[in-house]
Parts: sequence; structure tokens; C-alpha cells
Amino acid sequence: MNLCISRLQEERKQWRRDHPFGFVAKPVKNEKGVDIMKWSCVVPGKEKTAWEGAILKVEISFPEVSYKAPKMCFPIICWILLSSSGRFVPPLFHPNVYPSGTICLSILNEDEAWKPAITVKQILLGIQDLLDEPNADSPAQAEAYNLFKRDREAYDRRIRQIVRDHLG
Amino acid sequence: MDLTGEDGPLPESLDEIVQLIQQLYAANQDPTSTSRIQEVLQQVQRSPKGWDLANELLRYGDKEVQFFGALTFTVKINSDWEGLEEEDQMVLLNRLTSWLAHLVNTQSAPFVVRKMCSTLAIFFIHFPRLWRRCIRHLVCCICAQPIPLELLDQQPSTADIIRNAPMEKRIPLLWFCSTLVQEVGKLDSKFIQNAEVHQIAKENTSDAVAVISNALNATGQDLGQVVQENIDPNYVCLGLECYQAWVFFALKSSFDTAMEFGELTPLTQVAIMWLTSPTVFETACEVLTEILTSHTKFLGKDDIVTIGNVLSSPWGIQHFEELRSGESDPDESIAFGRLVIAFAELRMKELLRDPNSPQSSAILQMMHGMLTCPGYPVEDDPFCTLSFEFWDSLVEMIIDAEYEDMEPAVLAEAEKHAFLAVEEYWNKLKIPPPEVAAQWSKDSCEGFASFRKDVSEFIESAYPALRIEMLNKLTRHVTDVVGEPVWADVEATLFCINALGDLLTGDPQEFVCLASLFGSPVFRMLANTELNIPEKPRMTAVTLIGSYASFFEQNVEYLPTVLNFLFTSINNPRLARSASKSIVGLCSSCRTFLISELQTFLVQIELFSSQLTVDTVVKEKVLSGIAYVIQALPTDELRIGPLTMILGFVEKDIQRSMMMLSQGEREDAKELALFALRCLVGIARAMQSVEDMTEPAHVETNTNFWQHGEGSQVQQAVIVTMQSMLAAFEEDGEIIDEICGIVKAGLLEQTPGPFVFCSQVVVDFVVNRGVRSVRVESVIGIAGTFVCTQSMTLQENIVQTQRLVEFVLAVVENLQVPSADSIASPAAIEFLQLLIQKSLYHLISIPQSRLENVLIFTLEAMSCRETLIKKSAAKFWTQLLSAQPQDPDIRNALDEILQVCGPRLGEKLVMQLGGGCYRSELDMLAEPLKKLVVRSPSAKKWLQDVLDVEGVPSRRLQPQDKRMFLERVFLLRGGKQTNNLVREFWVKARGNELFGYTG
Repeated sequence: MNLCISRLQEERKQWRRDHPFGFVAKPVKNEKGVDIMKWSCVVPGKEKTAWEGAILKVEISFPEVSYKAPKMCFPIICWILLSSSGRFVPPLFHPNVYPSGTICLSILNEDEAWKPAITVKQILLGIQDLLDEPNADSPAQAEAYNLFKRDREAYDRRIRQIVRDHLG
Repeated sequence: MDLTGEDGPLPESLDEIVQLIQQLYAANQDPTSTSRIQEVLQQVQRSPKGWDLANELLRYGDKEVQFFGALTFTVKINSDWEGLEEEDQMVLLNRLTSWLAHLVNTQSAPFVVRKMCSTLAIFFIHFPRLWRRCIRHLVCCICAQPIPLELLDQQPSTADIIRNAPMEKRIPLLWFCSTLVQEVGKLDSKFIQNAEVHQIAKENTSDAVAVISNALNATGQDLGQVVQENIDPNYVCLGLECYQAWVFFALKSSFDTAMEFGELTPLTQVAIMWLTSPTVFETACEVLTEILTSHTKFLGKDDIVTIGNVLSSPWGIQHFEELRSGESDPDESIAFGRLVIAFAELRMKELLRDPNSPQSSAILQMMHGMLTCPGYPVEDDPFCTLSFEFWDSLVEMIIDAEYEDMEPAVLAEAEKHAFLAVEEYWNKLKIPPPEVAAQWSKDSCEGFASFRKDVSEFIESAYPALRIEMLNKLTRHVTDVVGEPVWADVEATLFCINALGDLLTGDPQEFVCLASLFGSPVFRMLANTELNIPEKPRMTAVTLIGSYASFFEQNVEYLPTVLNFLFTSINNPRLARSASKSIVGLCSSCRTFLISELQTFLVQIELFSSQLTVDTVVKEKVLSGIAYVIQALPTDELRIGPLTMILGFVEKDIQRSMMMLSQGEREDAKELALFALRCLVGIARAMQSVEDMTEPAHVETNTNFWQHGEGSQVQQAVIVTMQSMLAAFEEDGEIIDEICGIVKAGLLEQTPGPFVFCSQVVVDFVVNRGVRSVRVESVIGIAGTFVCTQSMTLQENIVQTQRLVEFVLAVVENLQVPSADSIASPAAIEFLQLLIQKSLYHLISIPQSRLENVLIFTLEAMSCRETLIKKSAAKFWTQLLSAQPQDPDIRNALDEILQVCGPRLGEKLVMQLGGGCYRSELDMLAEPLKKLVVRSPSAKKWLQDVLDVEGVPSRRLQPQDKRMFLERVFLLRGGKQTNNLVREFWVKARGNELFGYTG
């Protein structure tokens, strides 16, 4: 079996057995059955932050790459889409989310902290952390980045408003 | 001892150190002094005296001090192992083993002995060749006498030595065996030196088996018999855990080689037999569950059969009944439940293939039995939460079955059980009566809510497998009701159907189900807010309406009932938010149909607004909802009345805000003002016409109804509101941002409207903010939207655009260099880029010296550290290089600009693409390069001049690399392949090939 698929099936199993509270991660279903290469996930905003109560839809796509490595070390390479109110346009208001909805996460960036054994759980927890702790060094969209840099209070207020109106 | 100094002297005497250790472990220490003590002790441990110190500490009678001694050995081995000569290694091993023997003989505290075992495991990891037969050696040293390694073969068998040893000596052996493989397992066997550690550890398997077999009391040939009498349960449990650790290790270390578990295999049957021992049962369950779920490959066919036989035996069934009744110990029940689930999941297809065999039917019954235990999930019953794993797999199997070869009989059986599970979960998710829920802890409440969420996930997963039959079955719980409904049942049904909102396929049968649901007497009862019905089903109904917006859009006859329900719900604080969300959605998509209801809605909002405390979020949404319907009215004349009315509600808030401000309550006043402005943004957006914007607006000013005609009063009032807010809150950033939202909504509108202001009003708003405005980027954003949306055929717009260009130039001149403000700079550059796109004339017309400044600003931006500045500059130059103006004067002016800027642009691009930028910036910086190579005949020279300089852009690039790059870049003529070429160039310049493969 394709290494990528078996690694992802293992991920699926691990996730079913144990996953953090409020998170969802599952492969999508298409006309050909379950598509293990594309996952639809939910990341909750952390308690006691401006993101509390948010329910973020996240789509993770794993491209098929041939890479020789032991099964559990197969690298997860993926594209992540973070959605704003269930759609990917307009992008989620966040300094590290690109206008296309893709996300800029240091654990996924091979220049930084990425390592082959990273799991779906770590990715999603990483996204949850990133929500409230944006990385000001790698802005992906101007709107959220500008407000974040200019006026933290107004930024937090805006986040709370977005969570309440669109992400709750 | 004084530890206040940062770098004070280290304690000298043993007594001082001991004192510190005792302080460290004493209760009620404050964290700062604890961490300071820790720091000092760590320094002492790492110092050259560490070895002697470890020895001295182990001599103490105090167990904490002994523990610290063992820990010190670990620290020293980890830090100094490379410096130890072979002779020293041997001395160290003898010392460690004799310490362990001493600690065991003197019956030291278990945590000290365990620590010493782990110290020995760490020793093994660093010196595996020296201590090849570590387990046997330790068995001899502890249970018999210390002997040299070379005499190990002359001793009796490991099993015999252990058999004759007292219990207190056997337990530490299990600790060591477990720790050993846990520690070795942490090493990645891909690396050669680690592979050797794994290999040597594996050579110890037969000795480990001897240790474990003794603990599991396995006797006779092939370990086939177990004596469960006169046992020490703790010893057996440790044995089982040690067995599990070795199984895990065996699997892990044989990943790349053939699976060989030979000696460990017989232990599995022994472990299974321990299930039936009451004192060891829980641990046996846990160990086997772990192996069934994570280490399946280890199990032989016989093992799986045996587990199945035990579970479905009278003993298993009896145990399961105890679990269901809640009589047995909760932890044991959960352990047993998990084991059944793990087994059932592993054997799913086999169970369904032969559902009537005694074993299959017993296990399947157990699976359903776990969904029908008495009590509420989480609070009383843990099993329905645990079972999701199995049922999720089952529905996934059904979905995949269509594309895999699965026997129809198995599929039918699977569907039958999935249906039943849906029904069982439906039954379980019913909300408890308030008096029951009131007794629950916060954790139980949250756990129950999370269980319901999981059920809705399961229902969602099950739909593609069970399709319309499932929807039909669920809706019948509501539509078949005769007489007074059981509201908890109704709520559970609506909750399940809510989960399917996004999944419906458009099948006409789905429509029939939903129509019967929303047209049912029960649903009408829910929508009739005059009836006294529990709140929860109403809340769920409101959410359900939101999830099925598309149904109502296509079946508008249900809308009036539904919307009136939603509008009355806004007066109930617990329903209001969710109702208002649905109101906006439905009013937006079904606006034309709702015109006839407009008056009723206005009455409702008036009632709502007259309340003492009003939820601002709800108000904002409902107002925009109504604005959508107003927009659908056929004429502007008809819009004036209702629009004036809803703007009146906003105006009241503005006035209240001003009053608060005059009383010095600035924070509250600002909050209210922001809210009122947000309402205006919402209304302005809702008033936009529905057609997509394709052409810029052609607003005839003299015939404009809203600017000069009957509607002008409405528009003027909005403008006055905006101006007074800016003045009152002294150019507050958030106020400016909200006003930008209103202005932008008007600019994006293509036909005249109440929020479509004349050009001068918009441009005045921009330039009056000034170049140092706190939100200069938002204001420049409005300037950009103006340029993008307004027709440049109108003289007035040309004049106003000129003012905007002046404004942005002033901003740039004020900044001087792009790095001065990482937010304003990209905003200004982006405006200039839009100007190229929409009105190049305005850019070319900038007087030469100022134009030069601006262009230098954009070139400098290319090498700024901040991505966003760089990105805006890349886009600017891409745009400029692709511009193809018809007007020969403009074309000539553009060529001149390029001749002047070309060399510098070439330099910036080479430096960035040659390793200067981040990898993620490559694609955007490749764009101007692609345009440059086809735009100007001088481009090659500009690039070559930079590349010819030795060591530029990177010392890693050889002259031939640079030559190749240049040639290929021009061969590709701006094609897509340029991106790959640029990536290769960058990787080479950075000197890290590892980054290559993801591209």
C-alpha cells in the first residue's frame, strides 16, 4: 500500500482512539468513498482567549508524494485551509492566514520547526495555539496583521466580534 | 545556606548538599527557591565530583537523598559517558549493580530501586557491547551473587535462579526489564549506532521471557499452564506490563526487518488466561486492549480466537452483565468495555460475516448493550462514548464497501447494525429533565454536551451509508406523533436532523421528509411562541432552521411561519442570537419573497428595541436582515420610509453615545458608537443591489435620488453621523475603521443608493484624515477602492483621483523609507499598483522628481525584511512591467521609467532570489522576473551585470551556475517553469538541498 495512505490510516486510528476535547478530524467522503488524502477538521478556540467559543473549520489536503522512509516517519506534507464562517473566502481574519485561506504555521514550515513525524493532532493543536499567538514575523494577510500590530486592544475586540458573529 | 546570590559559590560539604536535597523535596517550598535549589544541585551533579557524590548520597539512610544519588549517576552517565575508558566503564557497571543489589537487600523505598533500575538502563544504552547480557547478569547479581560477566554461562538457568529467589528480589528485575525496552525504544533505530543498541537489547529476549514467565506464574512445557492460586497480584500485574513493553519493543525494533517474536509469542496465551483472575483482571484487560488496538501484528490467529472465546464464554457474558448493571467497579468495567470494543473493531468483518455464531452474536450484542446501559452518558454511563470508535469504523466500512469487494450479506448485516446504533444513540442523547441536570457537575454537563456533539458527528458520518432511510426514520419521530409530544424525543430528533444540514443531496425523497417535518403539527407548535413549551426544543428548532436555509429558500411557502417564529424568538435571550443569525441568512437569500412580511418585521424590531436591555449583536443582525428586505422593494420611494425607521434605531444609539461622552463615560460611549456604526455597515452592505458588479458605476449626479433628490435627507443624516463620530472621538482608530466599512460598502455599490456618496465626500473623508492618521492604511485602502470602482471617464472622478494621488504621495514622502512603517508602506504601494491598473495616466503625470522618489521607495521595498512590504513591491513591479498602454506618450514615459529603474530592479531581484528572501516568498518574487525578461531588451544585461560580480548573490554559486540560470531564465521567456528554476537557484544559493523535495 502507498506509504502515504498507510501513514494517514494510522493517523486516523490514533485520532479515533484519542483526540483533544472539541476537536474533529476525519477524512472527507466523496463519490468514491472515504478519501483519506483530504481531511475535514474542526479546531475550537482556546478558553480564556479572544477565540473562546470559536469553531473553526479546517481542511487539510495531503498531496501524494513518493518518499522513502519508515512508515511512522513518513512526513506529513499538507496544505491547510482555515475557513471563515465555513467558507474560505473571505479569509479568516488572522495575521498568519493567507488571503487564499491557507495557513502559515511554523511547525509546517520546513525552514523552521517542521519534522517528518509530525501528526495531525500536533498540526491541529498547533493551529489552536496559533490562533491566540499569531506569529508577527510571518504575516500572511495585511488586514489582520495591521490591526494586530497597530492596536492589540482593537484587534482582540475584533476577534471577539468575528467569533461571535461568524465562528460561534 | 544562602542561595540568594545568582552565581554564589557551590556548596562544598556533603552535609550542605544533603540539606539542599531535603529542602528540595520538602513540602510547601515556594517555586522560586525550588528552582534555585535545583539549579545549584544540577551544577553540583555535573561537576567533576559528581561520581563520588552519587556514591556518598546512596550511602545515606534518607530515601530522598538515595534517590538523588541514583539520579546523579544518571546525569553523570548522560553527560560524561564519552570520556569513560573501558576499564572505568566496568568499574562503573560493578558499582551500579552492587548498589542495586544493596538497595534491594536493604529493602530501600521502591522509587529509589526503580530509579537505580533506570540508571542501569541508561548505562546499557551507552555501553551495550560491554553489557550484552544485561538481564541475565542482573538476575545473577541480585538473586545470587555478583559475578564477573565472563562467568555468566557457568551459572544455573535464568529461570532457575529467579525461581529460588524471594519475591522482593524478583520485582526489581521486572522493573529493569520494562525500563530497559522503554528507554531503548525511544532511540530511533534508523541510525546505525541506535540499531546496534536495539539489536543487543533484543538478544536479551529469552532472559526477559524467563523473568516475565515467572511473574505470570506460567509453568509446564511451552508455558502452557497458569497457576492462579497463591499469587501476589502486584507481581503478576507488573509481569503483564513488562510483557506489553517487550511486545511494543519487539514490534518497534523489527519495523525494517522481518517480524520475529518467537520467544515472546507463547506469553500471549498466558496473558489472556489472566483475564479470568479477579485481582489481575483490570491490568490484563488493559494490556490486551493495547495490543489488540496498537500492536495487532503481534497477535497470532490462535491468540485472537482465544480472546474471542474468553469474551463470549459464560464468564465473559456474566462480566458484561455486571458492567451493564453498574454493579462492578467502574474502572474494571471500563477496562472490560474497551477490550470488547477493541476486539469487535479488529474482527468487524468476521463478526458480520457469521453473525449468528455464538461468538459473533455475543460480541455484537455486547456492542449494542453498551449503547443501552441505564443512565445518562458521561454522568452515569461511560460506554456510549467509548463505543464511537467501533461504530464510526462500521459506517466507514459500509461507505467503502461500494468500491471494495464486499459480500452483499455482510453489507446488509452492517447496515442493520448501524441503523440500530443510530436509534440507540438517538435515545441516549435526549436531554435530562432540568432537576436531573441541576445535580450534575460542570464536567458532567460539558461531557454530556460533548457526547451530543460526537453523536451529531456520527450521524453525519452515517448518512452517506444509510441515506434516505435514516432521514426518514428520524423524521418519523416527529411526524408520527399523536397527541402531546414528548419534547425530549422531539428535541433529540431535531438535533440529529440538524447534523445533516450540509449533506443533503437534493434527492426528491429528502424533500418529502423535510417537508413533512417542517409542515408537521409538532413543528408548528414549536413555532407558535404563545404555547408553553420547554425552551431547549425551541432552541434546537431555531438552530435547525439556520441549517436548512437552502430548503426554505427553495420552498418559500414555509418561510412566513419560520421567520415569524425567528422574529418572536429574538425577545428570548436564550434564543435571540441563534435566531438573529438565521434571520440575516434567510432575509438575504429570500428578500423578494419576504416583502409582504416587512411590516410585521418592523413591528417586531420596534418591540425588541423598546426593551430595557438589548443584545447589541442581535440588534445589529436583525437590522441588516430587515435592510435586505428593504433593498428588495421595487422603488427608491418605497425604500425611504422603512429605511428611515431602521436608521432611526441607530440614531438613537448615536445620541445615547454622545450623551455618555458628554458625561465623561468615554469607554462605554465608544463601545456604543462602534456598535451603532457597525449597524450602519451591516445596513449599508445589505442595501447593496444583488447583481454582481461587472462595470464601474455610472452615477449621474444630477439625477441622483439619494444625493440630491428625495432620499438626500437619509444620506445627509448618515454623513453627518459619520462626521460627528470622527469629531467626537477625535480620530479614534476603531471609529475610522468602521466608517471606512460604510464608505467602502457605498463604493462597491453599482447603482445609486443611500450609502453611495458623491466622489467629493469620499475623497474629503480620505484626505481629511491626514498623512499621520492612526489608520492611514485603512484610509489608503478606501482610496484604492475608489480608484478600482469609479469610472475614470467622468471629469469629476479624474479630479478627485488626483487629490488621492497627492495624498498617497504625501504619505510616502512622510515615511521616506518603506521600513519606517511596515503597515503604511505596503498600503501606499498597493494603491500605486491599483493606479497602474486603473489609471496609469495619473501615475505618469506625477512630476519627475516626486515620481523618482516613489519608484525608489518601491524598489527599496523589494529588499525589506517584512514580507508584506516586499509582496506589495513585487506586485507593483509585476503590474508596471505588464502594463501595455495604447497612448504613445504614456508608453514612452513608461519605457523611460524602466530604463532608469531597470538596473536597480535587476539587482534587487537577483539578491532576493539568490537566497536573500524566504522560501515562501519565491513565487511572488518570481513574478516580476517573469515579466522583466519579456519586457525589455536590456533586461539580460541588467541581470548579468549583477551576476557577474564575484560572490554575488551567494558564495555558494559558481560562475557556471549563474550563467546557466541566466540562460535558462531567458529561454523560458516568463513561462511557469521559471518558478522551478528560481527555486533551484535559491536552494543552491542557500546551500541546503533538503528543502528541495517538497517543491
